[in-house]
Amino acid sequence: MIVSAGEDSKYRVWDQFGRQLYNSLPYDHVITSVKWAPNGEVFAVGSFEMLRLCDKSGWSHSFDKPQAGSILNMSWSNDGTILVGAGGSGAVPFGYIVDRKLNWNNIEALLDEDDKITVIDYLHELNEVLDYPERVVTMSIKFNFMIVATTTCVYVYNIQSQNWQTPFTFDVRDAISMIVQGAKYFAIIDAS
Amino acid sequence: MSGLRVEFLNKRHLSISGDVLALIDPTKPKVVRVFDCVSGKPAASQIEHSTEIIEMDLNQIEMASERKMCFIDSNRDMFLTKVHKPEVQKIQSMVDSFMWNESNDMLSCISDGKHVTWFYPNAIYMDKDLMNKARAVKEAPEVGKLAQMISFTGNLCEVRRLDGGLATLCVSPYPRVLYEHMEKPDFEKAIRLCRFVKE
Repeated sequence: MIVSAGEDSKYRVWDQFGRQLYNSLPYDHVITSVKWAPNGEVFAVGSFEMLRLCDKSGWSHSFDKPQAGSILNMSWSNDGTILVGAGGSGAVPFGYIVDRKLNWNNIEALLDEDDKITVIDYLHELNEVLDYPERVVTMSIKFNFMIVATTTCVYVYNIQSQNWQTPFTFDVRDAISMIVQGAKYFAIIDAS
Repeated sequence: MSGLRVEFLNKRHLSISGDVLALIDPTKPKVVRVFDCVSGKPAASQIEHSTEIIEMDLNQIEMASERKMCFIDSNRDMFLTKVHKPEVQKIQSMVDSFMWNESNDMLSCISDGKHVTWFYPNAIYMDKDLMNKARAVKEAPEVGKLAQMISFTGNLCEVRRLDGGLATLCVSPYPRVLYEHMEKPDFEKAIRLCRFVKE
């Protein structure tokens, strides 16, 4: 997939055959930069005092107005959690992806900050805040288990046992780019 | 496995089930490679197709003999095959996305503005007409074009529309309840449910 942007103040998403999948509304200023996240799930769009986070199908998740002039170039960290831009005024705006939300049956997990997850159990009316020593890279919730990957560690929670304090943990060497869960097993893919 | 490029991989290229892990070969997208979960070795069979495969998923039930794989090729046709004895059968065309149920053998897809659900996909290996009988087709104009199914738990399907909005579609709750009775197993209740639905 290709994302393009230009003088017409729009950004567009194309597939590998050159068909246009998405065409954005024209924004106030010329779009000066676009950049895919390493995992290909989202991309960032930079313009004059506008930084936008968009889903791979084109619609935008959120936007921010950094006081940095036109964002002329952007770069993602290799785990896809930090975005940095080169502002036209000489400022360097940094961004973290926050407010990621996952839900499964009666459980909702919300990544409030880069290292804090709030778990809400609507059935039992429980609220649980999970803090991590490093930033959370990716998380997944399915089949009664929640799996959270930080930069050095993977935490596995059993939802049914309501045990949010003592997860099963193991260390990883590289940043995890993807978690695929099955009913019995799960697979983790690192960025190396 | 070498030659795996993370940037070309997404959640629909890899699937893991109770006994095998399946992966669309990144160098040959017409092939799905199958690995044994316990030993990590390649399984005896791999699935080959005539055109590029763009999305693939395994069903999540316990029984390895009923392990099935569903995939969409670049023509947006949807196919179903057994994993341990490959036998590819086309079941639907113009499919935007599909999903196996999390806890039972139901298969659901969005195809040409319709929401199609197969309650017992195994039936295709006995009688194709039977498979079409155990199927629900519902008009779903609200999901629009190229919607992505993101979850299918219980009898609810969550669908992400092209503009980012979420839509929830539902299927009949009876097949799910029937599956739950069969799992226990509680055939008395299962038969009672069937008679109730028949009335």
